[in-house]
Order: sequence, then structure tokens, then C-alpha cells
Amino acid sequence: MLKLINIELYKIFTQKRSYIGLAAILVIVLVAQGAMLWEGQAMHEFITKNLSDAFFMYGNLVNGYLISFLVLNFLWVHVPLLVVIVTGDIFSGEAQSGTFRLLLTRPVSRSGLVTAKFIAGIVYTFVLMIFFAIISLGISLIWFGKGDLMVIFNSVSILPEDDLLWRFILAYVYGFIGMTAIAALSMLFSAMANNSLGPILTTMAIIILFTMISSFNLSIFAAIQPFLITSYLDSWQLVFSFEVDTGQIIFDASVLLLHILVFYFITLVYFNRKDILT
Amino acid sequence: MSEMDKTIVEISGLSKTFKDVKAVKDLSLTVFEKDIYGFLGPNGSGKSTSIRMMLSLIRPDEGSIKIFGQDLQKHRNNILVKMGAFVEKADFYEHLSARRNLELLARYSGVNISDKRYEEVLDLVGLSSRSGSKVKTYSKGMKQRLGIAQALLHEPELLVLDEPASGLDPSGMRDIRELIRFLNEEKQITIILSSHNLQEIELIAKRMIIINKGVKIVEGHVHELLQQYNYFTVFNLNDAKKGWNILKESQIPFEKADTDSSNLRILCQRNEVSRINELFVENGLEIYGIKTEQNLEDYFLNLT
Repeated sequence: MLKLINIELYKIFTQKRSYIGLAAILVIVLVAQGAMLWEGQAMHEFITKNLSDAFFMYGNLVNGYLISFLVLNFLWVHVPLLVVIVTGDIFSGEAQSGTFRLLLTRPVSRSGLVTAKFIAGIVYTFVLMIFFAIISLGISLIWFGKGDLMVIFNSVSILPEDDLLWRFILAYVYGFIGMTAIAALSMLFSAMANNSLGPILTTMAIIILFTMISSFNLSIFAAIQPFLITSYLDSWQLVFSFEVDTGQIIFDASVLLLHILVFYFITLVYFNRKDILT
Repeated sequence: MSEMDKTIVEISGLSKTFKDVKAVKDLSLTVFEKDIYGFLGPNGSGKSTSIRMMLSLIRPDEGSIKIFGQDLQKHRNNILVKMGAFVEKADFYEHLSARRNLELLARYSGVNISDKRYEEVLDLVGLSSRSGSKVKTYSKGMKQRLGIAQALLHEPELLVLDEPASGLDPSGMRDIRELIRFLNEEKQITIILSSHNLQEIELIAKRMIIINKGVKIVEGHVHELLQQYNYFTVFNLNDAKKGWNILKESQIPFEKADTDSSNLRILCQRNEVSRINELFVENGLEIYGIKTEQNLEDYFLNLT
């Protein structure tokens, strides 16, 4: 199995498209950080204008943690696209290029191949998330320094500087689970398709549609929201509450893990029965 | 080859339907050890589907496939480790070199291949000087040859080649033919060769099966099968009209003949060709060339 995983990772990391996501993250985060370096203070003053009438604010509020937090919020919608560019192609790319004919006429089990591809897809997602974390948090801290983080959700919370690093690490870990669930969905569609573009577009269309339904507080959608994967993707924000609801985070993460397992097993069953016609 | 030879592939009652289309219907065949077995049929006849079922790329609806005496569904990996295959087109990881592609595929096969073996195989197909080049820079012919190289890499006992000469120029086709003969005669590899070209099969195969619309039409020894049916033979003569008159007045049986200024096309049994040749020579005709003209369509018409 390890040998198969190695081969799949080699195939992923020798393809140019695998670096599109990394390059996109680098550029977007650097642009966001550059913009904040230039006009961050003015922007922060604009956002907190009403609050400054009631509160006395001091210290370095436009700091690395705030920038990283803003980047996280801003990029969370786009990272799935960067993940599925690679994972959505992991099966269908081979079907389209005809290389399944080479692989599956060799003594390698289909279940083994599916498992190796899934693990390789997850490793790629992990690499992307680590890169995202280093670029957004690491560089932000170097450029902007440390400080307390002001979070405005339903209420305003000021999280002290020494209570932040573990929250960011947890947010990225949760984000990794969420992105892995999306990667697994795209790999399921990829196993069903014989062209590269279809699974990528289908996954993104579903994510957009589900996000829309998850975000609307309409009674018509309320009944189905708990069953949508997107309802659990943004729970990383919970770690930035003053009192962290650990139970809720564990539950949401478990739902995502369950999605990953279900997508994997459907892919396994489907691919084992699939006729290789390309 | 006698029927007592060791059976390598035994297929019985194989069927496959795609939606409403019956691609293969109740197909049975036997391939013996050290055979070059031609799998012949027009495009869309079910050849590729049958070959893919033999390689476990497609699941049959019915029937059984036994290779090396083992059931393919139950002992897939044991069987595939002794098989090499080239299916339809040579598709590779284009961004990698030929050598790297072979290394990856060897790892999938779970066998250790020595550097010497890589060089040997690439040399055998005439690609050793370009082994470091990315496959995307290869011509179609080079990719086809690399396709055969990957099938040979782990020294298989059974080689399945689905249209290996497709799209090649005549010299490329001849090279592939010579390679197949070499592998069969020198390396003792049993070969199943699929093609829609009767002449290609006739030139190289020992036994063959012909299928059409997914159904077996005939199976047997190539030359015995071809002997039974009439061919068009074209005599290129100095005076084709005179040849036609001589033929008409002779006792040699033939089905039909037509002529233009220099060619006389005669549909007759194969064993009559030498007699006609003698007849023309005796009557002072100059013969510039003799060639058989037979395509799969004619052959099918003869069979049905």
C-alpha cells in the first residue's frame, strides 16, 4: 500500500496543476497582506469606528493574528476550488488520458488503487493547508507582529495575544478536515467521470449551492441544513469565541469525518464495478 | 500446433451488454501455449470489449475466463503478473520520460526490474536513445513501441496486443510484425493479437478467431481457414485481355474474373493460382506481378 501511495504522490507532485493552488494561495495572501500593510490601520479604524466611541482602544490591534484571521475569512470560500483542481482530477485524469488501461492490466487491486489515491489526495490537501497556514499566519506574524485579536461575530470579543496560537492551530486543523471532506467529494465524482473538468465543476457547483442554502436563515431550508456538508465547513470560526464550545466543534468535525468515510466507500464500490472503456 | 497443446486461455460463454447494445454474445475460444492467436473482426465487432474482459478492465455479464488454468475473477492478480498488455492506444504520463513511465508501471506490477532489463526492453523496441525524453515529445509510432515495451517489461508469458500496429506506417507495421515473431519464436511468449486487418493476421498468426457483431464466426488455423475460401488474385500481364480468353477456354475452375488493360482479377480457390500462373506462362504471357486482393469484407461475404 505504501508503494502505491508513493506512486500516487509522485504523480500528483510531478504535475504542474498541483502547484496552481500553492501559487494562488501565495499570491492572494501576499496581496492581502500587502494591502493591509498599506491601509490596514485606516481599514481597522473604519470597522471599529462605532466601538471607539464607547471603548478606549490601545495597543497593536492591526497585528499578524488579525491579518491572518481576515485572510482565513476571506480565503475560506476559495480554498475548496484550489483543492478540487487536483483531487477532482485524480481518477478522471487517468480515465481521460487512458492510463487506467496501463495500471489496471497490472496486478494491482482496484480497492488498493482507490485507497492509495484517496490517501494521496488527502496528503495533497494537507500540504495545501500547511502552506496556507505558514503563509497566512507565519508571514503575517513576521510582518505585523503579535497582539490581541478583536473578533466581531455576534458580539465583540478581544482575545488576548497569549491565548491565540492554539486557536489558530485548531482552526487550521478543522479547516483541513473540512477541505478533506470536499476533496473526498470531488474524488467520488472523479471516479465516476471520464473527463477532468466535470468533477471539478460539479463539486464546485454543489459547494456553491449548499453554501447558499446553509447561509440563508429561511425556514424552508432549515430542515435540510443539518444534512448539508457546507453547514459544517465554517465551524472553525467557533474556536475564536471567547468561550469555545468544544462539544459543538467535535460534533461538527465528526460529521465531516463521516462524510469523508461515506464518500470513500461509495468511491470504492463504484470503482470496483466500473468498466474501463477509455 | 496440435489440440493436445497446453491451453493458456479458455473462454466460454462470454457476454457483455452496454445499455441496449449486445457487444459480445456467448463467445468461446481457446488459445494454446506458444500460439500467435489472431483476434480478427471489423471495427465495432466486439474485439476490444472481449480483450478488455480478458484483462479484467470490463466485467463480463456472463461466461467464464480461465487463464493459465485459473479463473480470472478469483485469481486476477496471480494471472495479471504473468501477462503483458497493450490495449488500443499507447497512452502514458506525457510529462514523464519513457524510462520514468516504465519505472512507475514496474512498481505497479510489484516486480523488481533491473537497469539492464529497462535498457534491454527499450533497445528491443528501438527507443533506447530517447529513453530520457518526455513522452509528449514522442511520435505516434514511438508511443506504440513504448506501449509494447511496457507490456514486455516484466517478461510475461502471455502477451495481449490490441491493434498494436494501428496508425503506423508500413515500415512501422513490419517492425511490429518482426518483433511479435521474435517474441513468439525466441522468447516462447504466447501472443493474442487483435486486428481488423486480415492480411496482418494472415502474415503472422498461427490460429485465429473471427468475430462480427459480438458473435464468433469461425475459429481455427489461419491457413486452413483461408484455404477454404476463394480469393481475388490479380495478375499484372502484358496482355490482360489475352489472359482472360486463355482462362475462359481452360478447364481451371474460377468464380468470376474482370479485366482492364493490364490487370486480370480472378476469383478462384487458392490452390488454383499456381495452375493459372503455369497456364499463362505456357501461353507466352509475360507476368509482371501477382498479388492477392482480399479484405475482411470479402472474407465475411465468403463466410456467410
